[in-house]
Amino acid sequence: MRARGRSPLWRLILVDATSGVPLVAGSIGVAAALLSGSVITGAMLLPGWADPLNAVLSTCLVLCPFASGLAATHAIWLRRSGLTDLAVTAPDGLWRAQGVAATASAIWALLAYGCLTAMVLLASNLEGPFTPSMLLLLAQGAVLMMAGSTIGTLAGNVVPRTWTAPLTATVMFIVLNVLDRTDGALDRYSMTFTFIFYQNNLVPNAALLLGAIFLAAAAGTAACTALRAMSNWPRALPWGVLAAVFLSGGVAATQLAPPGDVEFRTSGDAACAGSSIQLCVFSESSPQLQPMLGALKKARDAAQPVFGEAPRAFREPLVPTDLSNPAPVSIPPNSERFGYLGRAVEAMVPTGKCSPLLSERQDLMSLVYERLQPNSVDSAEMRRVARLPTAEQIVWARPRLERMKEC
Amino acid sequence: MTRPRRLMALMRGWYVPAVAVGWTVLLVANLVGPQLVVLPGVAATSQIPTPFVFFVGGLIALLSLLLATEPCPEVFVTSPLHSRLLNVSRVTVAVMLGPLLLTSIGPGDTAATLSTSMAVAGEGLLTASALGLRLAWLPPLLHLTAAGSFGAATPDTLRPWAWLISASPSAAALTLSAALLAAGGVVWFLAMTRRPSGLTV
Repeated sequence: MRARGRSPLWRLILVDATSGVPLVAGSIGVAAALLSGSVITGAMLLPGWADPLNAVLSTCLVLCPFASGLAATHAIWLRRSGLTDLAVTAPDGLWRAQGVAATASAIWALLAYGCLTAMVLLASNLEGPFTPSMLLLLAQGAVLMMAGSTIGTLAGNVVPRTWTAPLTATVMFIVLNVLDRTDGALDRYSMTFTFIFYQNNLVPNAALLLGAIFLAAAAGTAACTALRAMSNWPRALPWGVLAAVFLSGGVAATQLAPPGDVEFRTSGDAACAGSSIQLCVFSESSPQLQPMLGALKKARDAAQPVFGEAPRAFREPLVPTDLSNPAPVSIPPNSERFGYLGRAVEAMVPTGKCSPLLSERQDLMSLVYERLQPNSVDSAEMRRVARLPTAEQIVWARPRLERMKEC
Repeated sequence: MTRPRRLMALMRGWYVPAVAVGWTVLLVANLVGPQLVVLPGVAATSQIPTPFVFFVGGLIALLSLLLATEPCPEVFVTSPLHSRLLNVSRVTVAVMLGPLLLTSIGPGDTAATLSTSMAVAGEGLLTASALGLRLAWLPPLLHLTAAGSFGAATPDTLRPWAWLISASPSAAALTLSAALLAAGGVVWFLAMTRRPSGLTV
């Protein structure tokens, strides 16, 4: 015999999740997730776990607003049909009823996210690098989906109007996009990382990601606090404390995190090739080793006569190698067939401590590129310089190379 | 009914002022907004979808869908033909008039905004016919936000499925959007007579 004659909560949640709005709207979400998962092919993603998981996290820009809209619609429906009023007659009824509703919505949101993750992981090449910090990307998406559902439930409860749901979804979409895309003060508070492509030598910035997870959790628990306060505000205090802990943890982790959205990888095996020109890359990049070597040879032949000297040894940044003084060269992903030459040219011009955007550096790179492929750069000045006799090009390049050494 | 009275009927309803307020907010936001806030640059998709087309087109369509709820969808099961016609035409007029009005007074490309609003409203009406008006916003908003986030294959090319956010829509894109709206209108017109189930309201 059950103690209080109440059906178990999980059964209520199951009934709620398999009927009405959560069922209909949730299946739309899962269908959309499956559809987007089916168009993603392995060629779009870089090898390893980080890039596919980051791609899935990026879809939370769309799925998280959807989750909050779904939850809001569900909450509005319950309120306007009078079911919530019925629940209010039981002790803690509103809180429990809304908790069940929010959980039912969150189940569908997580299901959509899970389906998409599974499909993307199945399509991608998982032979590449894996570190535990990459799983934080997965966790961040799940937390975002749950937070979205809770916020939606709160919005639907506070303003149970027809237009609340699409408005909540739109506002969530705008907030997530602004956080994702802005530079400046808000830059560190991104919830998603759309513009990062995890090449072999990159791993997520674990502290920053942990901060983002805490901040998303803080938003979710803050919504829980408000929902709890609607039926019994003293009992909302523990939720409020939890939200405050998440918030301070999130801000602290974000502020203390090392700069940059990503960190460089420090472990891994090297694969090397070449004789006159040597190149070492992470073993996961070995398919790109030969084409990159070819591009480096071409770029060096074009740069050497003008620069006088050009590096002979290269490595993908941070690859452990015994080459002497290797110049860093970034390796383009497999799918980017035309990226090799540009990156090879970039590797010819010494950076030193200068900004990569220094105009002298850009000019020198344009010159090498123009010498390799006439009429390929936009600047008319650089086209003119590239047509000068080699001796005059040397004279033109010397002060710029000197300037590069000064930084 | 005389002609002016018919015109008046088009403008009667709870949500008509709401739509008017919505348009005004969108207009003011687009006139004043750019001077107050600098919108973050959309690096991945550059100028293909402009924020104006994206938000104004989408929001006009969602506002217009509100008009389809009036006066009360259950009434249409028993009501004469002309009230269903009135319902559909109110939505259609709002979807077309909104972009025309807003882009003639404020900034923005008429064709692009029209293409977005027609496609979103069309998808919304089709959904409403199957699932009811309260869920009508879900698939089109999902489509719109997905197009805005992942719709660009390269900085210069839009994926075919993201046609609705194009900043300079082709004739084919405009036709597709118009066809969606027309299909949505017709299906919604027919669906209104069906007995409303728990979800169809």
